[in-house]
Amino acid sequence: MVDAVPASRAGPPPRSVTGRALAVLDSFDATHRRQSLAAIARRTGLPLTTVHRLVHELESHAALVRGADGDYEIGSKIWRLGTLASVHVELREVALPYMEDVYELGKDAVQVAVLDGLRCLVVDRIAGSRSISVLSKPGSRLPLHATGVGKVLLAFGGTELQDAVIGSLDRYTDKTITDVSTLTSQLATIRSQGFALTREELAPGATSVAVPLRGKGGTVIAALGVVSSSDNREISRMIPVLQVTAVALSAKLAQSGLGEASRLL
Amino acid sequence: MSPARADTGAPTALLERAMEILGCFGPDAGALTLTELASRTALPLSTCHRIAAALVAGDYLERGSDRRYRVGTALWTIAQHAPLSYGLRESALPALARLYEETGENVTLAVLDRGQALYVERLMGERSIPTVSRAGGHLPLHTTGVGKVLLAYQPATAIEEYLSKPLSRPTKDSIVQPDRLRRELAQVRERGYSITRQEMTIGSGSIAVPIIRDGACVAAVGVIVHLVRLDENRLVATLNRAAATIADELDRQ
Repeated sequence: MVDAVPASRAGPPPRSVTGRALAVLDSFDATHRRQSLAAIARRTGLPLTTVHRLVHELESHAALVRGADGDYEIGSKIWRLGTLASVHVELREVALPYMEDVYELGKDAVQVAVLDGLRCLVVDRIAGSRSISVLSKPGSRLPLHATGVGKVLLAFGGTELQDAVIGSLDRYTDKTITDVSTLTSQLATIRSQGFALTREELAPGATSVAVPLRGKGGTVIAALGVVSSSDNREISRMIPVLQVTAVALSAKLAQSGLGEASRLL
Repeated sequence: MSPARADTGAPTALLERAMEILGCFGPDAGALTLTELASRTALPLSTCHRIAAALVAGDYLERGSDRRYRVGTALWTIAQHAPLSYGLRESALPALARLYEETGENVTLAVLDRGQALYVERLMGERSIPTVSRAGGHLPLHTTGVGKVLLAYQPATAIEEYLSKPLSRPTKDSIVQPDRLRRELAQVRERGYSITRQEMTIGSGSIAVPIIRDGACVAAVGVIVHLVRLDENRLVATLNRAAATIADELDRQ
Protein backbone atom coordinates (compact mmCIF):
# COMPACT_ATOMS: atom_id res chain seq x y z
CA MET A 1 0.00 0.00 0.00
CA VAL A 2 1.25 3.45 -0.78
CA ASP A 3 0.10 6.84 0.34
CA ALA A 4 -3.25 7.88 -1.00
CA VAL A 5 -1.64 11.25 -1.45
CA PRO A 6 2.12 10.97 -1.86
CA ALA A 7 3.91 13.88 -0.26
CA SER A 8 5.74 14.49 -3.48
CA ARG A 9 7.71 17.67 -3.84
CA ALA A 10 9.09 16.74 -7.21
CA GLY A 11 7.71 18.67 -10.14
CA PRO A 12 9.08 20.19 -13.29
CA PRO A 13 12.83 20.92 -13.28
CA PRO A 14 13.41 23.85 -10.92
CA ARG A 15 14.74 26.95 -12.63
CA SER A 16 16.77 28.67 -9.94
CA VAL A 17 20.27 27.45 -9.24
CA THR A 18 19.58 26.88 -5.55
CA GLY A 19 16.40 25.11 -6.56
CA ARG A 20 18.44 22.81 -8.74
CA ALA A 21 20.90 22.22 -5.92
CA LEU A 22 18.09 21.13 -3.60
CA ALA A 23 16.14 19.25 -6.28
CA VAL A 24 18.00 16.02 -5.54
CA LEU A 25 16.88 16.03 -1.91
CA ASP A 26 13.38 17.11 -2.92
CA SER A 27 13.07 14.10 -5.20
CA PHE A 28 12.94 11.75 -2.19
CA ASP A 29 9.41 11.12 -0.96
CA ALA A 30 7.23 8.38 0.50
CA THR A 31 7.10 6.48 -2.77
CA HIS A 32 10.72 7.21 -3.75
CA ARG A 33 12.78 6.42 -0.65
CA ARG A 34 15.53 4.56 -2.49
CA GLN A 35 16.66 5.91 -5.82
CA SER A 36 19.39 5.21 -8.34
CA LEU A 37 21.33 8.06 -9.93
CA ALA A 38 19.36 7.52 -13.14
CA ALA A 39 16.05 7.69 -11.28
CA ILE A 40 17.09 10.93 -9.56
CA ALA A 41 18.11 12.40 -12.91
CA ARG A 42 14.79 11.40 -14.43
CA ARG A 43 12.72 12.79 -11.55
CA THR A 44 14.61 16.08 -11.26
CA GLY A 45 15.03 16.61 -15.00
CA LEU A 46 18.71 17.38 -14.39
CA PRO A 47 21.56 16.04 -16.53
CA LEU A 48 23.10 12.85 -15.16
CA THR A 49 26.53 14.49 -14.75
CA THR A 50 25.01 17.28 -12.61
CA VAL A 51 23.10 14.74 -10.54
CA HIS A 52 26.27 12.75 -10.08
CA ARG A 53 28.12 15.79 -8.71
CA LEU A 54 25.23 16.87 -6.46
CA VAL A 55 24.74 13.37 -5.06
CA HIS A 56 28.45 13.07 -4.39
CA GLU A 57 28.39 16.37 -2.49
CA LEU A 58 25.35 15.28 -0.46
CA GLU A 59 26.95 11.91 0.29
CA SER A 60 30.08 13.62 1.64
CA HIS A 61 27.85 15.43 4.17
CA ALA A 62 25.96 12.22 5.10
CA ALA A 63 22.85 13.90 3.70
CA LEU A 64 22.50 10.90 1.41
CA VAL A 65 23.77 7.40 2.04
CA ARG A 66 24.50 4.73 -0.54
CA GLY A 67 23.03 1.30 0.12
CA ALA A 68 24.60 -2.04 -0.70
CA ASP A 69 22.67 -2.19 -3.97
CA GLY A 70 24.04 1.19 -5.07
CA ASP A 71 20.78 3.07 -4.58
CA TYR A 72 20.71 6.22 -2.48
CA GLU A 73 18.68 6.94 0.64
CA ILE A 74 18.29 9.91 2.99
CA GLY A 75 21.23 9.91 5.42
CA SER A 76 21.72 10.56 9.11
CA LYS A 77 22.59 14.24 8.65
CA ILE A 78 19.18 15.13 7.20
CA TRP A 79 17.45 12.87 9.70
CA ARG A 80 19.21 14.62 12.58
CA LEU A 81 18.35 18.07 11.21
CA GLY A 82 14.73 16.94 11.04
CA THR A 83 14.71 16.39 14.80
CA LEU A 84 15.39 20.13 15.22
CA ALA A 85 12.28 21.29 13.33
CA SER A 86 9.62 23.00 15.44
CA VAL A 87 7.07 20.39 14.46
CA HIS A 88 9.39 17.82 16.05
CA VAL A 89 10.61 19.70 19.10
CA GLU A 90 7.41 21.49 20.03
CA LEU A 91 4.85 18.84 19.17
CA ARG A 92 6.24 15.40 18.41
CA GLU A 93 8.53 15.06 21.42
CA VAL A 94 5.83 16.36 23.74
CA ALA A 95 3.10 14.17 22.23
CA LEU A 96 4.96 10.86 21.97
CA PRO A 97 4.57 9.65 25.59
CA TYR A 98 0.83 10.39 25.39
CA MET A 99 0.56 8.57 22.07
CA GLU A 100 2.27 5.55 23.67
CA ASP A 101 -0.35 5.49 26.41
CA VAL A 102 -3.17 5.47 23.84
CA TYR A 103 -1.38 2.82 21.78
CA GLU A 104 -0.88 0.52 24.75
CA LEU A 105 -4.58 0.72 25.63
CA GLY A 106 -6.00 -0.20 22.25
CA LYS A 107 -3.13 -1.41 20.03
CA ASP A 108 -4.76 0.64 17.28
CA ALA A 109 -2.59 2.89 15.14
CA VAL A 110 -2.25 6.28 16.84
CA GLN A 111 -1.43 9.48 14.99
CA VAL A 112 -0.99 13.20 15.52
CA ALA A 113 -1.49 15.65 12.66
CA VAL A 114 -1.38 19.40 12.08
CA LEU A 115 -2.89 21.63 9.46
CA ASP A 116 -0.65 22.20 6.44
CA GLY A 117 -2.34 24.34 3.82
CA LEU A 118 -5.43 22.52 2.62
CA ARG A 119 -4.22 19.16 3.93
CA CYS A 120 -3.12 17.70 7.23
CA LEU A 121 0.46 16.71 7.85
CA VAL A 122 1.01 13.53 9.87
CA VAL A 123 3.54 14.50 12.53
CA ASP A 124 3.91 11.09 14.11
CA ARG A 125 2.34 7.69 14.17
CA ILE A 126 2.65 4.52 16.22
CA ALA A 127 1.45 1.38 14.48
CA GLY A 128 2.35 -2.18 15.36
CA SER A 129 1.84 -5.41 13.49
CA ARG A 130 -1.42 -5.83 15.39
CA SER A 131 -2.64 -2.45 14.12
CA ILE A 132 -4.43 -2.08 10.81
CA SER A 133 -2.03 -1.21 8.00
CA VAL A 134 -2.49 2.53 7.82
CA LEU A 135 -1.94 4.59 4.71
CA SER A 136 -0.45 7.51 6.52
CA LYS A 137 3.14 7.81 7.69
CA PRO A 138 4.96 10.62 9.43
CA GLY A 139 5.40 13.25 6.74
CA SER A 140 2.28 12.20 4.78
CA ARG A 141 -0.16 14.89 3.74
CA LEU A 142 -3.73 13.64 3.97
CA PRO A 143 -7.02 15.14 2.79
CA LEU A 144 -8.88 17.02 5.51
CA HIS A 145 -12.39 15.83 4.66
CA ALA A 146 -11.66 12.10 4.55
CA THR A 147 -9.68 11.46 7.75
CA GLY A 148 -10.54 11.72 11.45
CA VAL A 149 -7.63 14.00 12.31
CA GLY A 150 -8.32 16.03 9.16
CA LYS A 151 -11.99 16.54 9.97
CA VAL A 152 -11.10 17.80 13.45
CA LEU A 153 -8.63 20.30 12.00
CA LEU A 154 -11.17 21.33 9.37
CA ALA A 155 -14.00 21.69 11.89
CA PHE A 156 -11.94 23.98 14.12
CA GLY A 157 -10.02 25.65 11.28
CA GLY A 158 -12.40 28.54 10.59
CA THR A 159 -14.71 29.40 7.71
CA GLU A 160 -11.96 30.58 5.37
CA LEU A 161 -10.32 27.14 5.45
CA GLN A 162 -13.66 25.36 5.23
CA ASP A 163 -14.70 27.39 2.17
CA ALA A 164 -11.38 26.61 0.46
CA VAL A 165 -11.57 22.86 1.19
CA ILE A 166 -15.23 22.48 0.33
CA GLY A 167 -14.48 23.84 -3.14
CA SER A 168 -12.93 20.51 -4.18
CA LEU A 169 -13.88 17.40 -2.25
CA ASP A 170 -12.00 14.51 -3.84
CA ARG A 171 -13.47 11.03 -3.63
CA TYR A 172 -11.27 8.19 -2.30
CA THR A 173 -13.87 5.51 -1.59
CA ASP A 174 -17.61 5.21 -2.14
CA LYS A 175 -18.02 6.40 1.48
CA THR A 176 -16.00 9.62 1.10
CA ILE A 177 -18.21 12.58 1.89
CA THR A 178 -18.21 14.81 -1.16
CA ASP A 179 -21.55 16.50 -0.53
CA VAL A 180 -21.01 20.01 0.83
CA SER A 181 -24.08 20.20 3.07
CA THR A 182 -23.46 16.74 4.60
CA LEU A 183 -19.87 17.71 5.38
CA THR A 184 -20.86 21.13 6.75
CA SER A 185 -23.34 19.61 9.15
CA GLN A 186 -20.78 16.97 10.20
CA LEU A 187 -18.28 19.71 10.99
CA ALA A 188 -20.85 21.44 13.20
CA THR A 189 -21.44 18.14 15.04
CA ILE A 190 -17.69 17.66 15.48
CA ARG A 191 -17.41 21.13 17.02
CA SER A 192 -20.27 20.48 19.43
CA GLN A 193 -19.39 16.89 20.44
CA GLY A 194 -15.62 17.43 20.41
CA PHE A 195 -14.59 14.45 18.28
CA ALA A 196 -14.67 13.25 14.68
CA LEU A 197 -15.43 9.80 13.34
CA THR A 198 -14.79 8.42 9.83
CA ARG A 199 -15.80 5.09 8.34
CA GLU A 200 -13.91 3.91 5.27
CA GLU A 201 -13.83 7.43 3.85
CA LEU A 202 -10.15 7.37 2.82
CA ALA A 203 -9.51 3.64 2.53
CA PRO A 204 -11.80 0.61 2.58
CA GLY A 205 -11.57 -1.33 5.84
CA ALA A 206 -10.36 1.56 8.00
CA THR A 207 -12.28 3.58 10.55
CA SER A 208 -10.93 6.42 12.65
CA VAL A 209 -11.76 8.69 15.56
CA ALA A 210 -9.94 11.89 16.46
CA VAL A 211 -10.04 14.75 18.94
CA PRO A 212 -8.56 18.26 18.96
CA LEU A 213 -5.35 19.21 20.76
CA ARG A 214 -5.37 22.75 22.09
CA GLY A 215 -2.50 25.10 22.76
CA LYS A 216 -2.29 28.35 24.66
CA GLY A 217 -5.60 30.22 24.74
CA GLY A 218 -7.53 27.11 23.74
CA THR A 219 -6.63 27.35 20.03
CA VAL A 220 -6.82 24.01 18.23
CA ILE A 221 -3.26 23.38 17.02
CA ALA A 222 -3.28 19.68 16.20
CA ALA A 223 -5.40 16.54 16.22
CA LEU A 224 -4.90 13.19 17.94
CA GLY A 225 -6.57 10.12 16.52
CA VAL A 226 -6.65 6.35 16.24
CA VAL A 227 -7.21 4.32 13.10
CA SER A 228 -8.68 0.86 13.43
CA SER A 229 -10.15 -1.89 11.30
CA SER A 230 -13.74 -1.11 10.33
CA ASP A 231 -14.70 -4.49 11.89
CA ASN A 232 -13.85 -2.87 15.19
CA ARG A 233 -17.30 -2.03 16.54
CA GLU A 234 -15.75 -0.78 19.75
CA ILE A 235 -13.72 2.08 18.34
CA SER A 236 -16.09 4.52 20.06
CA ARG A 237 -14.64 3.22 23.34
CA MET A 238 -11.44 5.00 22.37
CA ILE A 239 -13.20 8.39 22.33
CA PRO A 240 -13.07 8.98 26.12
CA VAL A 241 -9.47 7.68 26.15
CA LEU A 242 -8.53 10.17 23.45
CA GLN A 243 -10.41 12.98 25.19
CA VAL A 244 -8.73 12.41 28.55
CA THR A 245 -5.33 12.15 26.85
CA ALA A 246 -6.02 15.31 24.81
CA VAL A 247 -6.77 17.31 27.96
CA ALA A 248 -3.47 16.27 29.57
CA LEU A 249 -1.47 16.73 26.37
CA SER A 250 -3.11 20.09 25.60
CA ALA A 251 -2.14 21.33 29.06
CA LYS A 252 1.43 20.30 28.37
CA LEU A 253 1.41 21.96 24.93
CA ALA A 254 -0.07 25.17 26.33
CA GLN A 255 2.61 25.15 29.03
CA SER A 256 5.32 25.05 26.40
CA GLY A 257 3.73 28.10 24.80
CA LEU A 258 2.21 26.56 21.68
CA GLY A 259 -0.84 28.30 20.30
CA GLU A 260 -2.00 31.86 19.76
CA ALA A 261 0.47 33.58 17.48
CA SER A 262 2.80 30.61 17.27
CA ARG A 263 1.55 28.33 14.53
CA LEU A 264 3.52 25.22 13.81
CA LEU A 265 3.34 25.61 10.08
CA MET B 1 36.57 33.49 0.15
CA SER B 2 34.91 35.96 -2.19
CA PRO B 3 31.16 36.14 -2.68
CA ALA B 4 31.81 35.75 -6.40
CA ARG B 5 32.66 32.12 -5.77
CA ALA B 6 29.09 31.42 -4.84
CA ASP B 7 27.87 33.43 -7.79
CA THR B 8 29.38 31.20 -10.44
CA GLY B 9 26.00 29.54 -10.49
CA ALA B 10 27.30 26.01 -10.17
CA PRO B 11 24.67 24.04 -8.26
CA THR B 12 27.37 21.98 -6.57
CA ALA B 13 29.02 25.05 -5.06
CA LEU B 14 25.65 26.31 -3.88
CA LEU B 15 24.71 22.96 -2.45
CA GLU B 16 28.00 22.85 -0.57
CA ARG B 17 27.24 26.23 1.01
CA ALA B 18 23.66 25.21 1.74
CA MET B 19 24.99 22.10 3.52
CA GLU B 20 27.46 24.22 5.48
CA ILE B 21 24.64 26.50 6.61
CA LEU B 22 22.38 23.58 7.55
CA GLY B 23 25.32 22.00 9.38
CA CYS B 24 25.37 24.93 11.82
CA PHE B 25 22.14 23.72 13.38
CA GLY B 26 22.28 21.20 16.18
CA PRO B 27 20.76 20.23 19.53
CA ASP B 28 22.39 23.27 21.15
CA ALA B 29 21.82 25.52 18.15
CA GLY B 30 18.19 25.23 17.16
CA ALA B 31 17.68 28.92 16.31
CA LEU B 32 20.46 30.99 14.77
CA THR B 33 20.76 34.59 13.57
CA LEU B 34 22.26 35.52 10.22
CA THR B 35 25.38 36.80 11.99
CA GLU B 36 25.77 33.50 13.82
CA LEU B 37 25.39 31.56 10.57
CA ALA B 38 27.99 33.75 8.88
CA SER B 39 30.49 33.39 11.70
CA ARG B 40 29.98 29.62 12.00
CA THR B 41 30.34 29.01 8.26
CA ALA B 42 32.98 31.72 7.70
CA LEU B 43 30.93 32.77 4.67
CA PRO B 44 30.45 36.45 3.79
CA LEU B 45 27.25 37.84 5.28
CA SER B 46 25.77 38.56 1.85
CA THR B 47 26.41 35.01 0.57
CA CYS B 48 25.01 33.60 3.76
CA HIS B 49 21.93 35.77 3.49
CA ARG B 50 21.27 34.81 -0.13
CA ILE B 51 21.59 31.07 0.49
CA ALA B 52 19.61 31.19 3.72
CA ALA B 53 16.88 33.08 1.83
CA ALA B 54 16.81 30.34 -0.80
CA LEU B 55 16.59 27.71 1.95
CA VAL B 56 13.70 29.66 3.50
CA ALA B 57 11.98 29.85 0.09
CA GLY B 58 12.22 26.07 -0.17
CA ASP B 59 10.94 25.70 3.43
CA TYR B 60 14.20 24.00 4.40
CA LEU B 61 14.63 26.77 6.96
CA GLU B 62 12.07 29.10 8.48
CA ARG B 63 12.63 32.55 9.85
CA GLY B 64 10.61 33.57 12.87
CA SER B 65 9.53 36.98 14.07
CA ASP B 66 12.69 36.97 16.22
CA ARG B 67 14.65 37.00 12.90
CA ARG B 68 16.29 33.70 13.82
CA TYR B 69 16.51 30.80 11.41
CA ARG B 70 15.20 27.37 12.36
CA VAL B 71 14.89 24.03 10.56
CA GLY B 72 11.77 24.12 8.37
CA THR B 73 9.03 21.69 7.51
CA ALA B 74 10.37 20.62 4.11
CA LEU B 75 13.57 19.40 5.70
CA TRP B 76 11.58 17.64 8.42
CA THR B 77 9.42 15.96 5.79
CA ILE B 78 12.42 14.72 3.81
CA ALA B 79 13.92 13.43 7.06
CA GLN B 80 10.86 11.21 7.51
CA HIS B 81 11.94 9.34 4.37
CA ALA B 82 15.29 8.34 5.90
CA PRO B 83 15.58 4.62 6.66
CA LEU B 84 16.39 5.58 10.25
CA SER B 85 12.89 7.01 10.43
CA TYR B 86 10.58 4.84 8.33
CA GLY B 87 12.63 1.69 8.87
CA LEU B 88 14.13 1.45 12.31
CA ARG B 89 12.16 4.01 14.31
CA GLU B 90 8.75 2.99 12.99
CA SER B 91 9.45 -0.72 13.42
CA ALA B 92 10.67 -0.13 16.95
CA LEU B 93 8.07 2.32 18.30
CA PRO B 94 5.42 -0.22 19.42
CA ALA B 95 8.03 -2.35 21.22
CA LEU B 96 9.60 0.76 22.77
CA ALA B 97 6.17 1.90 23.96
CA ARG B 98 5.61 -1.50 25.58
CA LEU B 99 9.08 -1.44 27.12
CA TYR B 100 8.36 1.97 28.56
CA GLU B 101 5.01 0.83 29.97
CA GLU B 102 6.60 -2.29 31.51
CA THR B 103 9.54 -0.55 33.11
CA GLY B 104 8.46 3.07 33.51
CA GLU B 105 12.08 3.89 32.76
CA ASN B 106 13.80 6.01 30.17
CA VAL B 107 13.96 3.91 27.00
CA THR B 108 16.51 4.56 24.24
CA LEU B 109 17.18 3.23 20.75
CA ALA B 110 20.51 3.98 19.08
CA VAL B 111 22.62 3.15 16.05
CA LEU B 112 26.31 3.51 15.32
CA ASP B 113 26.95 6.74 13.41
CA ARG B 114 30.51 7.72 12.59
CA GLY B 115 32.09 6.56 15.84
CA GLN B 116 29.29 7.68 18.14
CA ALA B 117 25.95 6.43 19.38
CA LEU B 118 23.18 8.24 17.48
CA TYR B 119 19.92 8.22 19.46
CA VAL B 120 17.08 7.40 17.10
CA GLU B 121 14.42 7.57 19.79
CA ARG B 122 14.09 8.18 23.46
CA LEU B 123 10.89 7.64 25.38
CA MET B 124 10.46 9.06 28.81
CA GLY B 125 7.65 9.89 31.15
CA GLU B 126 7.03 11.52 34.49
CA ARG B 127 8.58 8.55 36.29
CA SER B 128 11.77 8.42 34.24
CA ILE B 129 15.09 9.79 35.36
CA PRO B 130 16.27 12.87 33.41
CA THR B 131 19.02 12.06 30.89
CA VAL B 132 21.36 13.82 28.53
CA SER B 133 20.29 11.71 25.56
CA ARG B 134 17.81 13.05 23.03
CA ALA B 135 16.50 11.77 19.71
CA GLY B 136 18.87 13.01 17.02
CA GLY B 137 21.70 13.51 19.51
CA HIS B 138 25.08 11.82 19.69
CA LEU B 139 26.82 10.37 22.77
CA PRO B 140 30.11 8.50 23.20
CA LEU B 141 30.16 4.73 22.67
CA HIS B 142 32.20 3.87 25.75
CA THR B 143 30.13 5.75 28.35
CA THR B 144 26.60 4.68 27.41
CA GLY B 145 24.81 1.33 27.60
CA VAL B 146 23.64 1.40 23.99
CA GLY B 147 27.07 2.67 22.90
CA LYS B 148 28.95 -0.19 24.56
CA VAL B 149 26.70 -2.70 22.80
CA LEU B 150 27.19 -1.00 19.42
CA LEU B 151 30.96 -0.95 19.94
CA ALA B 152 31.20 -4.50 21.31
CA TYR B 153 29.62 -5.99 18.18
CA GLN B 154 32.00 -4.16 15.82
CA PRO B 155 34.90 -6.01 14.14
CA ALA B 156 38.04 -6.23 16.32
CA THR B 157 39.89 -3.74 14.10
CA ALA B 158 37.15 -1.12 14.51
CA ILE B 159 37.20 -1.64 18.30
CA GLU B 160 40.98 -1.23 18.40
CA GLU B 161 40.76 1.92 16.32
CA TYR B 162 38.17 3.36 18.71
CA LEU B 163 40.28 2.46 21.76
CA SER B 164 43.40 3.99 20.22
CA LYS B 165 41.84 7.46 20.25
CA PRO B 166 41.51 9.71 23.30
CA LEU B 167 38.44 8.64 25.26
CA SER B 168 36.20 11.32 26.76
CA ARG B 169 35.45 11.17 30.47
CA PRO B 170 32.05 12.73 31.28
CA THR B 171 32.15 11.52 34.92
CA LYS B 172 34.77 10.24 37.35
CA ASP B 173 33.36 6.74 36.84
CA SER B 174 33.71 6.76 33.03
CA ILE B 175 36.00 3.94 31.91
CA VAL B 176 38.80 5.37 29.80
CA GLN B 177 41.50 2.71 30.16
CA PRO B 178 41.66 0.72 26.87
CA ASP B 179 42.48 -2.55 28.67
CA ARG B 180 39.53 -2.30 31.00
CA LEU B 181 37.19 -1.35 28.15
CA ARG B 182 38.48 -4.20 26.00
CA ARG B 183 37.71 -6.69 28.78
CA GLU B 184 34.30 -5.16 29.32
CA LEU B 185 33.40 -5.29 25.61
CA ALA B 186 34.35 -8.98 25.57
CA GLN B 187 32.01 -9.47 28.51
CA VAL B 188 29.22 -7.63 26.63
CA ARG B 189 29.57 -10.04 23.71
CA GLU B 190 29.68 -13.03 26.05
CA ARG B 191 26.65 -12.05 28.15
CA GLY B 192 24.69 -10.36 25.36
CA TYR B 193 24.11 -7.13 27.24
CA SER B 194 25.97 -4.09 28.51
CA ILE B 195 25.79 -2.26 31.77
CA THR B 196 26.98 1.19 32.83
CA ARG B 197 27.10 2.69 36.31
CA GLN B 198 27.38 6.48 36.53
CA GLU B 199 29.65 6.51 33.48
CA MET B 200 27.65 9.17 31.63
CA THR B 201 25.64 10.81 34.42
CA ILE B 202 26.17 10.61 38.18
CA GLY B 203 23.27 8.79 39.82
CA SER B 204 22.15 6.84 36.74
CA GLY B 205 22.99 3.52 35.26
CA SER B 206 21.93 1.78 32.10
CA ILE B 207 21.47 -1.63 30.55
CA ALA B 208 21.30 -2.30 26.82
CA VAL B 209 21.03 -5.23 24.42
CA PRO B 210 21.73 -5.60 20.69
CA ILE B 211 19.10 -5.85 17.96
CA ILE B 212 20.45 -8.61 15.75
CA ARG B 213 19.56 -9.08 12.08
CA ASP B 214 21.26 -11.66 9.88
CA GLY B 215 23.87 -12.14 12.58
CA ALA B 216 24.81 -8.45 12.72
CA CYS B 217 24.01 -5.87 15.39
CA VAL B 218 22.01 -3.18 13.59
CA ALA B 219 20.97 -1.13 16.63
CA ALA B 220 20.85 -1.23 20.41
CA VAL B 221 17.94 -0.80 22.76
CA GLY B 222 18.43 0.19 26.37
CA VAL B 223 16.98 1.64 29.54
CA ILE B 224 18.45 4.35 31.72
CA VAL B 225 17.51 4.01 35.37
CA HIS B 226 18.31 5.41 38.76
CA LEU B 227 21.29 3.49 40.12
CA VAL B 228 19.20 1.94 42.91
CA ARG B 229 16.74 0.49 40.38
CA LEU B 230 19.41 -1.18 38.25
CA ASP B 231 17.90 -4.67 38.46
CA GLU B 232 19.99 -6.61 35.95
CA ASN B 233 17.98 -9.82 35.71
CA ARG B 234 14.58 -8.23 35.30
CA LEU B 235 15.68 -5.53 32.85
CA VAL B 236 17.78 -7.81 30.62
CA ALA B 237 14.87 -10.22 30.12
CA THR B 238 12.48 -7.36 29.29
CA LEU B 239 15.01 -5.76 26.93
CA ASN B 240 15.67 -9.04 25.13
CA ARG B 241 11.96 -9.47 24.45
CA ALA B 242 11.79 -5.93 23.03
CA ALA B 243 14.89 -6.48 20.87
CA ALA B 244 13.45 -9.71 19.46
CA THR B 245 10.14 -7.97 18.65
CA ILE B 246 11.95 -5.12 16.88
CA ALA B 247 14.06 -7.58 14.85
CA ASP B 248 10.84 -9.39 13.81
CA GLU B 249 9.22 -6.10 12.79
CA LEU B 250 12.28 -5.17 10.73
CA ASP B 251 12.08 -8.53 8.96
CA ARG B 252 8.41 -7.98 8.22
CA GLN B 253 9.11 -4.75 6.32
